[in-house]
Amino acid sequence: MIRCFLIFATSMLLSCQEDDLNADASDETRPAEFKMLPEENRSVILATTPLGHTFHFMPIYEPGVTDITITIAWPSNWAYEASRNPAVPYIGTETLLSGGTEDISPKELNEFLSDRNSGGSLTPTADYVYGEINFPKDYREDVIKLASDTLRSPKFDPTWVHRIKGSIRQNMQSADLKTETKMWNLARKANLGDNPLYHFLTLPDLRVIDEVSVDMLRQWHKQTFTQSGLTIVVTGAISRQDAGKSVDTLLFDLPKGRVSPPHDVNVTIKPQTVFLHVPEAEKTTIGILGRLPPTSQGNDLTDRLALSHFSQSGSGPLFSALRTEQRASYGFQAGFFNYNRQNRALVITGAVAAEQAAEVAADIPEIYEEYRLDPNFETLADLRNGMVNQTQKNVTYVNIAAQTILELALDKRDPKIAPKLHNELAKLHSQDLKSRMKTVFPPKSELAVFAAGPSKKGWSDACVISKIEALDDC
Amino acid sequence: MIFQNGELDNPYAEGLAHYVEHLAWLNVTQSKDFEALRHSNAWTNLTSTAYVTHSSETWLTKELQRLVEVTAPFTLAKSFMLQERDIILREYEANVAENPYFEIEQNITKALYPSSPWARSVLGSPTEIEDFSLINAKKLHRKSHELGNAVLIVTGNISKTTLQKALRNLNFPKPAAPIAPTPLPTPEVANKRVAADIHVARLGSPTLFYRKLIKRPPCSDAAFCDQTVRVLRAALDSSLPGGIAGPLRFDNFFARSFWFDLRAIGSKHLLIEFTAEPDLNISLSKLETEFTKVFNEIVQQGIPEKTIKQIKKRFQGHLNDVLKRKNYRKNLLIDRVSNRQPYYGLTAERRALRSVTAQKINDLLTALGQSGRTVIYRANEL
Repeated sequence: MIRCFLIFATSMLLSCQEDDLNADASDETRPAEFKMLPEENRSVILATTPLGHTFHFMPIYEPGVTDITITIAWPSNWAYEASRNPAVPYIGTETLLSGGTEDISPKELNEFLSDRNSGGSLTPTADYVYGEINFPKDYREDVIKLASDTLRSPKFDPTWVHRIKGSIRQNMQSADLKTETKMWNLARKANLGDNPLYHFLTLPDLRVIDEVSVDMLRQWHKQTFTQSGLTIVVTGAISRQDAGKSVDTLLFDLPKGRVSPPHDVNVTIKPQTVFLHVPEAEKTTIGILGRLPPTSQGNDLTDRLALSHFSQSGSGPLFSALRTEQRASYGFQAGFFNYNRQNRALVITGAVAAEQAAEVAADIPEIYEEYRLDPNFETLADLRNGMVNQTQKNVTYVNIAAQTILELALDKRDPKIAPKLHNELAKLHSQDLKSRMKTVFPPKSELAVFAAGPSKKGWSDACVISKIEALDDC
Repeated sequence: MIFQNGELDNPYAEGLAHYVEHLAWLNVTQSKDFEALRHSNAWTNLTSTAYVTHSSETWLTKELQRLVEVTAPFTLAKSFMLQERDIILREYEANVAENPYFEIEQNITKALYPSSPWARSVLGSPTEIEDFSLINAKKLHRKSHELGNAVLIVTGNISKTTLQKALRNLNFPKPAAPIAPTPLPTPEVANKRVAADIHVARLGSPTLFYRKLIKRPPCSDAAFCDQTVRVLRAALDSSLPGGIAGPLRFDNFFARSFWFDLRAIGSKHLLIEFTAEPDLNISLSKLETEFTKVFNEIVQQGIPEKTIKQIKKRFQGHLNDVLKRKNYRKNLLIDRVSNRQPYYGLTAERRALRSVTAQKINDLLTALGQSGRTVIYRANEL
């Protein structure tokens, strides 16, 4: 807890305002309906609504915490069907969020949420559409009713759909002109192939956006927003009873749906080096990818700690080599990302000087391999403690707690660990990381190197192409 | 540790203050065993240069000592310091190259503040970065990194007594007297309009950039001045009666998206910023015409009291959120110090918000309609 801002100038000492010092204190009385044992605060339980929906629930009753988050993952297989327009979920979610309903115009919707210090989001991913609403407890009924109406009867006004299509197309056009986007699209095409998932994640042909019709959006909406196969989380200043009622109201009148089994897409990251020549580029971007097991198998905190240590500013081996010694880059990042829930990739990425790019791209796998097999963990404890503190702090936020619980639940892991995730991190020691890196991290021989930039110089060992469509020639 | 000296105070090549910041931090972090390096950062803006580190209570004195030592003369190898120019070029490439908005904003700033330090670029251009002079960097470091002009901000779960003890243990030459921050320069705001059609690579969507700099009416209470600007900004940005979003985005389809801001430049000027992407079949000229018309009508008619009350209520809601307020207070403090503005606390902010009235807001709104320096760029893809 922050007790005070201590402000010291070498020439002056300012004192905090006393009333600011006590700003965290609250005399707020606990509402009568909130009968909760102290040990239930920030404990995750599996509960059931009056209408039979199961949901993960973490109540927070602490002075000053007034927010509530409800987050729901709707399973979706839209990304895997070649017959479906891959742009529909992007346009559909945006239209749902901003297009209004039969009863409330887009303008009213905008101000309704602002007046209530509330907000929501809908995010399409390969396997799920994530929905989230955040609101203070005083506005629970108002916001739930609005969200329910939006889910049940979106307007899909053709004029708004037309505007949103234009926005998405122009945003994509702008992004596609950047070298970094070209590199990521190249890597995705190489790793996924020309399949529906690649098209969903990339939208390589923007004409599909223009082809989206209101009928397609309605079909997607009907098929996606059902009462079936949902993973639901409620966190914050709310009782279990009210949480259950809120979920039922939110899902009221949505149809029952058919839940498809998860799609069995197996991404292959083929060891190769591909350079995309972009003469007009103003920078060179490199991405080095390798396969990691999905987060559903656990240990992703170990992976995160190991890769953060590898790339951290100052003393990380990657930073030391590329910035301090070679002076080739401002900084490189290492981490991981999901193509979908079953396919996770390790990534090392950053921008480098064009004339040093090929050399750097060749060096990174060597630096990585040396670290993977023989890491120096002298400074690991310090990094780990910093991450423990940050994780502990993050999960105090009502919405981040909900997101964490949701991800654990989707991975079929125990959501109860969410509020104490920092403890899992604190338990990790250098031996855990060493073992994990040796046995699970891909060796350098399994890494793929992708780069895009203005100069072909030095890339003679790579497959050099001038457009992504030429990848088949590599 | 914030030095109230930034690019505005740099008499040399644009971006040199940022180069000095890199060198000063490297001087501390590369030449010695620096415990907090892994959780440290530094930044430069127009008005200040700051160094940030995180520490446990055990290492507090040591880490504070490191911060103080950013004032020490550079002892790094000359070749290493010169190579740091390459790193800044890489930083330029990583962060702003291929960002069309950066290039446009740089040009707008030059047009908005002709011959004024406010037009200076914190990062500099690649040509300038390549030619940074080490001699000038050392001169600027001596001038800009004086402890008498530094403000140290410590936040965390330590007591004032612990901090004072750690500070007493520091080894550094105590400044004889506080050095008042250099007054912020005054931009020229003679009534002038600069408008141009430009073509920019990687823009994607046609975009209208409208900026207007005006002199603000005198305002003495810093918290109240800020709250008035914030409430007016939010009201204008909204789709409530008196806002621009209704007529431009919801009731009519002129702007498919826009970004609006109203902010103080120093303590005597206000900058209106409107950046918008037109709806399909709306030209940039038409969008400009509609924005100007809508804005002028609002200035003429004023913002209804109901709208002001609604916005104030939203702001009060934000200020009442404890979890957000922890960072909010820290960020407010850093913002005030780094912009060389007097500090006020949350209590003063709340008090100021309560005292904001529709009359005061509309007085300020009227000032927005006065003459000023206007820059309009109608940007299309190259």
